[in-house]
Amino acid sequence: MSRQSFLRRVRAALVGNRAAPAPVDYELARLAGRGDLLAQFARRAREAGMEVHQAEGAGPVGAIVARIIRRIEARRVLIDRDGVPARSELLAALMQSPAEVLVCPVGEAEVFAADAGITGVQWAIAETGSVVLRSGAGRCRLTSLAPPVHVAILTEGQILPDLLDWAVQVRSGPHGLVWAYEVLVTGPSKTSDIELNPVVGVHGPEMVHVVVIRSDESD
Amino acid sequence: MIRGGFSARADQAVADLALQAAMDRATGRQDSGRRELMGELPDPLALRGLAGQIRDQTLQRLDRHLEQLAVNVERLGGSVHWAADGTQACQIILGIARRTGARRLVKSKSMLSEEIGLNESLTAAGLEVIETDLGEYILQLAGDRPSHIVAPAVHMTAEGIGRLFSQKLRIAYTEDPAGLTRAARRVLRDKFRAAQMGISGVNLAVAQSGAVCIVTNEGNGRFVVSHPPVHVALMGMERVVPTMRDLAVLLKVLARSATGQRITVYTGLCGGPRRPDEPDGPREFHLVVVDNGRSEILAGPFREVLRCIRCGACLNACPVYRKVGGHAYESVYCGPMGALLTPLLESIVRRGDLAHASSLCHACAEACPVRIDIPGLLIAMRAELKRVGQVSRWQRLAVKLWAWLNRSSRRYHASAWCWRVFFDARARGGWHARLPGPGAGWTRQRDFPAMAETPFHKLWPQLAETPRGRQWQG
Repeated sequence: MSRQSFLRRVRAALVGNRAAPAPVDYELARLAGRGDLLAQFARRAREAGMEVHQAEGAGPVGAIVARIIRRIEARRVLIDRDGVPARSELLAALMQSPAEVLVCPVGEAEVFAADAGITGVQWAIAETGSVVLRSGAGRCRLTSLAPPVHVAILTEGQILPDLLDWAVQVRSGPHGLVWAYEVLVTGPSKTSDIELNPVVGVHGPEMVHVVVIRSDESD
Repeated sequence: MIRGGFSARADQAVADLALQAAMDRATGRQDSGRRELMGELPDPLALRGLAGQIRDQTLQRLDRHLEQLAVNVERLGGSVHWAADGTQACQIILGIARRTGARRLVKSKSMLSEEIGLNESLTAAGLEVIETDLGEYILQLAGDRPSHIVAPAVHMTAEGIGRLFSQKLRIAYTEDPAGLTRAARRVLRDKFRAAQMGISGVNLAVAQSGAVCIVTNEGNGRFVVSHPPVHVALMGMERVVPTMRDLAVLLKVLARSATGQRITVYTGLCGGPRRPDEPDGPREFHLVVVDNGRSEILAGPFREVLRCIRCGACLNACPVYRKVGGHAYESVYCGPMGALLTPLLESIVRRGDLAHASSLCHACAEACPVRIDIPGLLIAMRAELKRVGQVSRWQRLAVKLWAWLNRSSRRYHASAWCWRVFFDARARGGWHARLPGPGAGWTRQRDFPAMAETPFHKLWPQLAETPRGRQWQG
């Protein structure tokens, strides 16, 4: 059916049936305000089953991630080419570890064979404890999806208070959205489809580590 | 009385003890999850009112929002297809598969795809279609149908699934949910990698940006929309919101109402095919917008039902659904919303008996995150059933007689007196073990009380003078 015919049927259904819209008070839906966003985010993220680590500046990031890699005994680690904060510190620490480090994009076989994937984030959301990942050059969708462990690195300044604040950030440029995919990740993958028994680790990662780089006093 | 098979299927379901245990466990947990997480909100009623207002206002200008959505999807490099009904939708998707040479398809959960029989259509054309949502995958292996719109395999036991997997996947028997999930993960991973086309549903499309929002917990939804070279998103025409802020409001109530989570693990926004500088993502994005009877509903008195965001909260709250489960409704859409949607999409004459699968207790209305007046609509549907001649003559007469007796205080007291003196004489110890005629349906399961010795209207003059009685009068 053509767009015209389809919409004509919808229009016909609405004839004589439209009321003037009343203004929507979005702020009624606000659940997180200002205040200590990092503390709110960390609490909610932990409640969602993610491990949250804090780094005082970019320096300690390498050591924190290296510790995670050692703990999970990862042999192959994937890292996005772009968008990862403290990248040089991170790579330096990873090169010291026994794990093989692959920089995305890589071949499909490598992606599915990786033990951990490291990405940056676009935003984090304090209200829900979510990290927001966005597609783009040097950022692979599968880095945070295929390996059983996902490590997300962000700076404190990337934490937004509420889903409403995230919503207004998703803006279209003159040619529409500049990215193809954005996903809010809130915890490891899970299911309760078998007798409502919760199982963690289905198709997505079974473990998510979030490393937050605290901002300086001087920021 | 009312034609249709719901009563018979409900009887069967109630006698099925395994089903009873499964339903009790599943719905109980999800319902208490909803109460807890909605209770966490500072003003749940206000938020639900806001969500309902957004959905309602969207429906009022649905044509404009759909047009804006289409323009924006195309601006991002996607294609929009319009299907008047399920057959057209299946043909469109089949056409895309043929043109792109896709023979191996993976699907994430879409109730609409079940409504239109998409899997059967594609399979008949020789294509392999694999459900990747764990519950749906289990049902596909078993050749069974979903019984709940959010947890579709809730009627199956772990033992049953264990036997199914050991038979179909040729693995050692286990009934451990984690082990079964791991087995499914292994199988489905290979399917994701080999798939040439991914088909998803759409939770809500955002007209302002041309992005479609898909929420999941398992991660299969992310694979389906990201890995295969072609992504087809199947959407009911009413599943759109105007702006991102509207989406944010609905996201705040959706997961809380459905599964008692603040938000689902993955809330994804798909905005067209991959951009030129992106290393992965689909090369083609298709949005298939389906009517299939929705514009008729939009035009009529049941329009409010189109607010539905398929959270399943009404199912988990409904005492009828919690007893009989989804199969008794014999429809893709079950529970209170299904009792409305099924007759509206199929035929009020043939499926209208579902409007009686309710005691009008209002649990569904209290649970609905977009404040659909389900009980009000069920009553309207019952009136519609009468209008189209689905209510038997003697039942209409009986109700007329009852109404006549109760409209006058004198007739009411007189008939109550007759009942007490002549009928309640048969009661033993204040209870009737058996009622005659249609009342036998009631006393098959329980006794029916005799009237009180002193009727309330005779007690009231004394009660009115007591402190409590005065309190009641305000």
